[in-house]
Amino acid sequence: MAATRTVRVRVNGTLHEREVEPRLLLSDFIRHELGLTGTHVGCEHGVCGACTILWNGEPVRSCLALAVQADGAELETVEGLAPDEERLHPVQAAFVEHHGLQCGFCTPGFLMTVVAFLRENPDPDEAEIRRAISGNLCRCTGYVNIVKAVKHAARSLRARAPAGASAAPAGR
Amino acid sequence: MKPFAYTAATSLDQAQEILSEEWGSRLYAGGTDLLTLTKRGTVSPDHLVDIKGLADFRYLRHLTGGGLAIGALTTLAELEANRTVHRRFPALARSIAVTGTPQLRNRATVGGNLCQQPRCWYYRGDFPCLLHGDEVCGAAKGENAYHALFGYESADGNRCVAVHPSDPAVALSALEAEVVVAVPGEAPVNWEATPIDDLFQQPTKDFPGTTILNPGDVVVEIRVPEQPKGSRQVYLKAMDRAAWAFALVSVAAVATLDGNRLADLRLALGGVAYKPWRARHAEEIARGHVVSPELVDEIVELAAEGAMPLGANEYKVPLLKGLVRQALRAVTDESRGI
Amino acid sequence: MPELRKTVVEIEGRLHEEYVVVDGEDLPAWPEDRVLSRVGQPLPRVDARAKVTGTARFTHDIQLPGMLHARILRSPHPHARLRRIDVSGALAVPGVLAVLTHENVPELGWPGRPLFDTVLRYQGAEVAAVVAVDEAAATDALDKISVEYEPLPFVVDLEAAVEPDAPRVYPEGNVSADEASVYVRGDTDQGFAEADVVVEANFRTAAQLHNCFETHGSVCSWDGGRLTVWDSTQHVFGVRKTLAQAFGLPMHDVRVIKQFMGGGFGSKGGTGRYTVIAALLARQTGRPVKLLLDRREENLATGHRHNTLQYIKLGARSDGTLTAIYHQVFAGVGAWGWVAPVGGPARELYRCPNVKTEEYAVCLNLGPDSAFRAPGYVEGTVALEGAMDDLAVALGMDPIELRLRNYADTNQPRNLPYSGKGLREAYRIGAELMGWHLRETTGYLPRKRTILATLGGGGNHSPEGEQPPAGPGGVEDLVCWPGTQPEDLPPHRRRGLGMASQIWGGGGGPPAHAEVRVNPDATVTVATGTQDIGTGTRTVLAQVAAEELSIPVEHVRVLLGDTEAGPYGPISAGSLTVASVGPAVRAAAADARRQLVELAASLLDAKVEELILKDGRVEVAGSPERGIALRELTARLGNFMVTGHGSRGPNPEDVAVHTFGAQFAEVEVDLETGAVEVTRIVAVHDSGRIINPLTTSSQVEGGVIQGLGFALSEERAVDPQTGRVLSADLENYRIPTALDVPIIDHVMVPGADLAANNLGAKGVGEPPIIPTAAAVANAVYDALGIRPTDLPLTRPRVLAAIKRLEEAAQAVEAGAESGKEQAGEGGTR
Repeated sequence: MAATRTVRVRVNGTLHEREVEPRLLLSDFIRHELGLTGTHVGCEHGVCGACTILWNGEPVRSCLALAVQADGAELETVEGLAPDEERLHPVQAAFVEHHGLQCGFCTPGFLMTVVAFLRENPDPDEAEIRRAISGNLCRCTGYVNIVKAVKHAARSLRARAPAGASAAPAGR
Repeated sequence: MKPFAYTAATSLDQAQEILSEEWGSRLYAGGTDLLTLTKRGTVSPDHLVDIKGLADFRYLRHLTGGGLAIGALTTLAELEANRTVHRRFPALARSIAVTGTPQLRNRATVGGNLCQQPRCWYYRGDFPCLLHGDEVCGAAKGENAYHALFGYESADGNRCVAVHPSDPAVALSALEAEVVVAVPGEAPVNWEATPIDDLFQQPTKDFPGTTILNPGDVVVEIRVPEQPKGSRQVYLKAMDRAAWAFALVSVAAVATLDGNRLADLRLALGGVAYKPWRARHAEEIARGHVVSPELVDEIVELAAEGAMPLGANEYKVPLLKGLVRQALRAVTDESRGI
Repeated sequence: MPELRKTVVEIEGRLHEEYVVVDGEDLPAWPEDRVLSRVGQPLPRVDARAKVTGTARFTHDIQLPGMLHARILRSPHPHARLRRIDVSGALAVPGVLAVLTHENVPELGWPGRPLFDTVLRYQGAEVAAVVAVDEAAATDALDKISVEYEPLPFVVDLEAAVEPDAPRVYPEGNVSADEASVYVRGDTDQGFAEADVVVEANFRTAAQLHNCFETHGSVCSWDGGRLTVWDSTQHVFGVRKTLAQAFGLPMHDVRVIKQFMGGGFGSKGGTGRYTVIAALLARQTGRPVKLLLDRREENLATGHRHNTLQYIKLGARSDGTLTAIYHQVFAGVGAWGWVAPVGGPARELYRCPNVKTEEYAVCLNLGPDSAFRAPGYVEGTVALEGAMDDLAVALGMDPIELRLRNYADTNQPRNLPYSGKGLREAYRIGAELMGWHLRETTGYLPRKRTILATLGGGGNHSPEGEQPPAGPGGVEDLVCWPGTQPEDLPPHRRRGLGMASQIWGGGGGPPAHAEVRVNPDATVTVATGTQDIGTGTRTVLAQVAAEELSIPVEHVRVLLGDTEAGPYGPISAGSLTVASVGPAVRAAAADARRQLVELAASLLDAKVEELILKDGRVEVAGSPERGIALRELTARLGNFMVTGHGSRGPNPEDVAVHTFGAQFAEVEVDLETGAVEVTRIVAVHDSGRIINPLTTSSQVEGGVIQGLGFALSEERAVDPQTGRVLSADLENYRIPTALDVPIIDHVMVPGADLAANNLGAKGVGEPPIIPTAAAVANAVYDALGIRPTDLPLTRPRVLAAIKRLEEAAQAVEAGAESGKEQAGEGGTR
């Protein structure tokens, strides 16, 4: 076994510090070390997108990164989307309302991709939406209701944003 | 994955030192290729040297004379979002837009994209493969629908028939880009730029990489020269599905028209060889001639000249011709009836 | 009172009779004109919140204290004898607790094949299992097991396997004529003799891999003699039964739980060998064991839709009336498995007095097959509906007209009328939406075709002793002149329209049971041993209970996916859940309602017959002031909970219950690149009353894209030299992305099937995948004028078809120039 290394990483606002083997995948770190099992692993090699998380605001495949690489990074997972126990993030609410899911296994990956996408592009057309989610595979829904949910999420996010405010997060 | 050590390099020198001295150390940046290979056990590095954090190599800079210098650690997403790339090198922009997925483009670096290993399913699985050290190439007489038409020399199983998977490499070849390679121990002023086509080699049993780089050599910059005024560019890619697949065949075309005349044409083909395959004979025939249906037919035929289908990839010949025809249609005037 | 009744049960296109327990008299279905306020509403899923917040626990997410991790070592060879195995290296890896092999596996009452065999008949067959403190240690240990294999000759190609001298998967041979499923109705020889037109065609379809995003896996934990299993399964009660048998336990000492599941599509219907292995290792170590398959194992060893070689021949009179259908099927089942009813559509879809179908299982040195969403019917529809379009061309008839000419009002194999059949309506709606009727007037599409040529091709595939389906050179393809193409298309693109019909079961049946418990606050808990495999069962059952009890859906909680949560529920397969469990829930809710009304009657001093339960109140009909809120009523009961029991009643004996539908596809084919782009799908299905249009929409759209994958890109690839699967990952096995999805318009034919069950509802899970590939292939036929016979329609196949088309056109041109006779005019034989 190779020497372990210390990883300090902020996940959904909480700082975590762990000793890990370099070969530990970030997805396994999140699921097993931190117990955040909302992030799913579907294909194990970067194809399906179920494991998508936000890494310093950008959607990335957590199954194609090592935990040690995330040292010092700021990560967001599906568990951090809802502002509190009661309310949902508008993207979550839109997926519920417009049936943008079936079995739900790929859903967290879609949500993280869409959250980041709508920060960059608050008013996308259908083609842009489909392109943005083309790296997230879904075996159940046919994507139609997912696209619908993204459109509605965009609308409700725009309605929430104060006039003239940028939808992009700070520092970008 | 087998255990390995990990170093987040703080300087290129440090990375190169480890890479050139430690057998089993591997250069690591975006991780989108190396990690998949490591997970499958296709490669088993002892030490990953991560250069992703070297901010000095993540830039886009205008060259005097109008070209663009791209730091090798620039991510594909950054390049895709760049206006200069869109405006002046649309073939490159398009080749990136059809690479992988948005998430992968956020992590993958342009240098890593050029240096990636073949996506050959024999290489990436438990199959006979020269690059595994086996005596034969399983694909040569096996399921080779995704394999080479050109450049492999022999289908007797002694040569790797995999194709280079990069889309940007094909566009960069048609744009006549150069790559700058940092050699360990050399001062940056001595780093040399070489034509991108010369970066690639046919992988062999003894040298299973897709590039000519030695351990410790690092691609640090890609230079895209300014294109002739009025030149038109296109990148077309045929895939098994609408997104997120490697090219069956792709074509990058850069054409300069002088009225009706093709002053210059560059055609690079992807998915057909171990490197972007320049259809040089076709380019030569085209140069200086008036665009006509007959000329297009000739270019199309010459682009496929010398193609050596392996069996299951015979369809790539008509596909290649069809894509070249469509690329020519796109970079010339469509009303000419071609 | 429970009683045993004999009834006909249909699962996945197969019928059988059995005795089932039913409890009480069934209710009549809600009449057609009954205004329903919960059923039929597009309600969001009741479990959506858990899924979007990441709190939904899938089997993958189960973590138990002290839990160990197991991995399986699998055969790298398609066929080998295991000579020697040495696990000492694995046992020496730190963290490894045990290794199981054929040498030390305890004897079990497991009804399946040996967990670890010494003859390994496919790549991926189990060789050993390791359990360790974490996954990394277990994986490391797999590498340390030393195995000596004696490779044996293998066969992985379906066409090769039917040859008499092919390597044999079993000594008896690869094709067993004795076990063939043969169906005969009337006399096909006579039928073909009576025909004015005969068409025949060969079809090939590829092995489709399920690729559920949650791979198969289980977590097993023993508590004394009791076993608890979290399993990614479509049938918790089925897994319980098999595990009880395997470990010699009473069934009630096994508990199987599955709260959320990342897809099954038919592949999770049985009990996994990995589940038994995990349970063994858990028993041996005394600690919980988690065993999850990785993506590659998933694609090697958990099943697939069998690939097929099909020969079909249709005979018809010149007015289009079918006189005979012959359909012969060879299905590559793998190392073992079953032939799904590929001949089902040929037996049932059209009225025809003379029909013969033969279905042969062909063993291959590949993983065993399993059900995959409408198994058999997807493949068989490709052949039947393709041949019907050939026949339409040969007769110069509109494809829909031909289908209507042969419309079947009865289920011919059972000689029973259908309980309801909205197929005619589906044709009408679909044709209108797709603009089918505009084809002639707009010159939008090739109309009456002239047969240009007949080409040799296809080849024969016939096992020893069988009549070869056609003469030397095989079946001939008809090549047609393309018709007028729309003006907006560039000359190198062709547009085509195609359609195909769908027939399937989906009527469900007993046994299925439910309980409805009325809580002290008048909310309701529905408990049933079914499971929600992602389709929306929780939501739909909540709507049914809410409707019957006239309470808000939010007041209903559904407990399922746990053998200890509720009474027996059937497997979630065969599109049967809504039509089986739904009626049981309604019956249980009605029972609860009856009890509530009786209790209210004594409180209100009213007669039971006078009372109605409506919008949360029990009141005397016509005198709302004499009533009591349900909440008040339940509060009076203290801790007593009214519990209603209900069962699915027996199926009707005088009618056959089926689902129907039609899909239309519009495609564009690029003649230069061979790209097939599906631009639009219109899907019209008749599944009786729709409980939730929103969950239905996802089922239809999801079915369509799985059908598109089957038609265009999904194909298991196998290396002929090593017999190993090349496409066992999601990079090389290509399922559709969001950019591959065309415009999908879907409509459910209105109306309830009142004879089917007390809901008037039928299944919707499988029907949408059935006609998609056939419709796409027919649209490509329309666009190109040459029939695609091999699916999926990847570039090699489409470009080869285009080449044949060009050759035929050149040949005809040459023939015309030399002034010889017109090529192939008429074309009928």
